[in-house]
Amino acid sequence: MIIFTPQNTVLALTGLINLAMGIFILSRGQRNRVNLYFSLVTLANFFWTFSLFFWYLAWSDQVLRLFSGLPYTFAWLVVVSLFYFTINFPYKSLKYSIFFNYFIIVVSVAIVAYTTFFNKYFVRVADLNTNSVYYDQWGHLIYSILLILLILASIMVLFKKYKVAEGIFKFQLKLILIGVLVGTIFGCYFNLILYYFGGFKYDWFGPIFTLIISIVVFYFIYSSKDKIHA
Amino acid sequence: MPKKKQKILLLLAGGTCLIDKSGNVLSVKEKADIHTWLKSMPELNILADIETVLVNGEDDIVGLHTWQEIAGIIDKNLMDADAFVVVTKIDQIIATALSLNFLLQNLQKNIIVTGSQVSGSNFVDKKELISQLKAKHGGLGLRTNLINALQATRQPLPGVAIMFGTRLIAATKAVYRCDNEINLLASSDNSYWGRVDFGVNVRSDLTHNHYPTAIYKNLSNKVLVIDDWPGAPWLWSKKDMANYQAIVVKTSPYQPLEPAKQKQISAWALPTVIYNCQTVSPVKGTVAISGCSEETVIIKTMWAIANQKQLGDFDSIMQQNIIGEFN
Repeated sequence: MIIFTPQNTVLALTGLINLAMGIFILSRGQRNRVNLYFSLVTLANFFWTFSLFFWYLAWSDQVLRLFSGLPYTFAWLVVVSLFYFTINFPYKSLKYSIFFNYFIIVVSVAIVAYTTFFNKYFVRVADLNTNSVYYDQWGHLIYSILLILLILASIMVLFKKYKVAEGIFKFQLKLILIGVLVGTIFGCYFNLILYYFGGFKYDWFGPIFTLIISIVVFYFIYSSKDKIHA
Repeated sequence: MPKKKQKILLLLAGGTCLIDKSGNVLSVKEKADIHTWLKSMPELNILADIETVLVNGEDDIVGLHTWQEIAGIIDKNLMDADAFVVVTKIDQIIATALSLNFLLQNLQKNIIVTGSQVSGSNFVDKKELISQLKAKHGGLGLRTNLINALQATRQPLPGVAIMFGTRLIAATKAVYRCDNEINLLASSDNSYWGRVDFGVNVRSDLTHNHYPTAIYKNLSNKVLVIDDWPGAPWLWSKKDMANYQAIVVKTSPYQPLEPAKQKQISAWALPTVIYNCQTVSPVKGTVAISGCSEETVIIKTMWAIANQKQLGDFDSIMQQNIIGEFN
């Protein structure tokens, strides 16, 4: 079995870059919510990418089933973290009740359980011999709707903030908005919409676009020439 | 995960101009304006519990009395608020921050001074600047500065800080330097307490000073500041000097003060500071100071003179590193 095919190499590199970025941002101070939620986005991206990596390496039907469900688990966690990141970047701009938080947690637990622990209801067929995976149509549809709704909510939060922002925030929000738009549009296309129609060939493309937002953040940090270290 | 919101006392002393959603310039001239002004920045109340105090209207003169009043209000509310944010005019930001730093030493609460890029409610003369800032940066910077200031209050700072543009600057290091349209202030040694890169990034090694808190009430306005030009005589008589309690002379770095001027200084017999930021030639009977900003020397003199009874020897106080001004 060849572990490092071109697809897997790209996935491994993308995952590792996301992991490094997550650790780097977290090391800047986890008390800062911007850092915290962004590192959660990148760490979830890392797990999402590596679950796709292992999907290519599946050695049994059970493993194939597991790694057909796990990318959905982590993709949901990416989007939930992204949503909280957009609320908090560059400053908290939305008041939400504790019930909203509970709602997100309950939905997330349900999705994680459905796509991971009860994945036989989500991944209806996982056959390594014919290399075919079929998802439950309704489950996939509901998951996709929830995911897209949360992505749209994140984009709306960012856009609303961008409209009233001034100075450095306007510029930063513009770049983050572009990063999120490109990342989510291509991510959804290659790893959600094509999946729905049974197209798994290009699923390794999706994670590449998550790097755009990391590049943008890296640029924010290193473009500033002002020294802040003692 | 949700943290308790900080209680912030927001003190307004000019520098309150901002552009609202419909493109109108708003500022706080009187108490009645505060509600509309705050309403145009709903983010502030999401970030913290804000209580507002109007010290000066937008068109009032900001000076020594304003600084003393602000210090008094902060002193009164020390137990009630978690931190203090002072909004003032851009041209008075450094002096305001330094005054508060000398009046309220080693507080265990943060004080951050900020403001708008534009001051004064007469916009006719600033029309071009306002439309330029609006077109290029989406506003006059106050909303961003305030949001950043509120976020920066969450981490302990060793003294009064200025939040402006993308920089969190120690009051003692702040200088006016227009590096770009957003950053009109800089740190004299290019080292900052924090910056806005990916969110507000405040240095993690900063702590409140652990020296005993010292609170002073007064600054003296009887300090004469002379910007000396070699060859240009000083035409003040001893009688003119009767109105002053101290003198600050800004000199050139590599030329000693002319003998005639040295004689005048000793005849006036007032506490005198000879200052240049790089280096200064000592003059008998004066305190020679370099290595800090001009505003620091002036404000420190105003503070040292006003509190001489409490502080003791003027010369030694002026040479001491009181608030980190010589760091």
